[in-house]
Amino acid sequence: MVTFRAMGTTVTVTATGDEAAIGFRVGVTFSEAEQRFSRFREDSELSALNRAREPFVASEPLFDAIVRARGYVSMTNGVFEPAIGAALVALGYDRTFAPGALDRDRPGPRPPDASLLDVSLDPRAQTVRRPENVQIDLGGIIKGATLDRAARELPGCGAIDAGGDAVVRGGPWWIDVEDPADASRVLATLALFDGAVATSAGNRRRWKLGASTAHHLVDPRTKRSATSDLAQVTVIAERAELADVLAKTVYVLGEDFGRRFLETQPHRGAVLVRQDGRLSFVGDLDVREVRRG
Amino acid sequence: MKTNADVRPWVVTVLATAYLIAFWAFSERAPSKRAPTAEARAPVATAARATPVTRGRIRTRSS
Repeated sequence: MVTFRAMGTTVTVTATGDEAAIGFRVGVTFSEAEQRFSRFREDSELSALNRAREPFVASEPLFDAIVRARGYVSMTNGVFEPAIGAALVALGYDRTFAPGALDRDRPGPRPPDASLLDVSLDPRAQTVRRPENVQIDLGGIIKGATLDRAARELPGCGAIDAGGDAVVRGGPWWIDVEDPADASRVLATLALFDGAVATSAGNRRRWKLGASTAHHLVDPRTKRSATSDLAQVTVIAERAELADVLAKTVYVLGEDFGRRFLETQPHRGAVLVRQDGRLSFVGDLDVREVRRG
Repeated sequence: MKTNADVRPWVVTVLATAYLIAFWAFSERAPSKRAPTAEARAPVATAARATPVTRGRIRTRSS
């Protein structure tokens, strides 16, 4: 097992064969992605794009990520929206998360509407023209995208776990779904042979905002932390990037609309945890154990 | 020579036992069709199915 820190979380690589070499290559993949896509690093390519006032010549990975992210904006009818960088900053999420680091007395002014669909792309010149009000945050897909990319390094059997979002190969791997109300407990265990899992919840990246609290899952429609009847959403899909997008979208939509949305999307299944602790399952999941709440 | 009255209780007993064994075997071996679809807060539903040895565990959570 190889473990390292990246993207504000712990990444664990388990693989048959030369695990150390595989872990090293996975680490390089994460390091390169963080360097390119971090919103918090002044020297990242994404930060340069967010500062640019002229058409910005993007690298192929950044250009492709923006193209895919725009696809998710359309797919979710704007519920997944990477152009919420300004809203996140207004809420206080203007630096790498650490407990207490983002606490503040009040939110900043609500930023104007912004959408990644307002960005102009020129595929031939690979340029991105960003309206001034659009601050791009690709945090919603980059961890998943990096997992998918790093999974190419895995042999027939292995797993990469990036703080609870993971890709697995050659299972069965047991996927324990953590209780968002009590991190010491597991609510259910699924079996997964090949695929990806992602979980979204508002319980961890949380900070004080005056008398209330904020979390990192922002509803682009209100530009505030989503108030969902769901406490946590876990999605199993072919790819980690897609699982990540679906989990975030369902969380923001809430249980009823989230279930209906999932019915229209390519995924294998989902585990929904309501705010009252009730657990429900969607789709074809290989559920091995359900524990009493 | 046995009469019907002598035979019937044995037949009934054998048939009932066979039925119970068959029912038990099927209920133990039948694969779960799908994930539970609604409130699955059943008291500890443990999987007794024979499964390959797991490769490992992933704890999924928000991070």
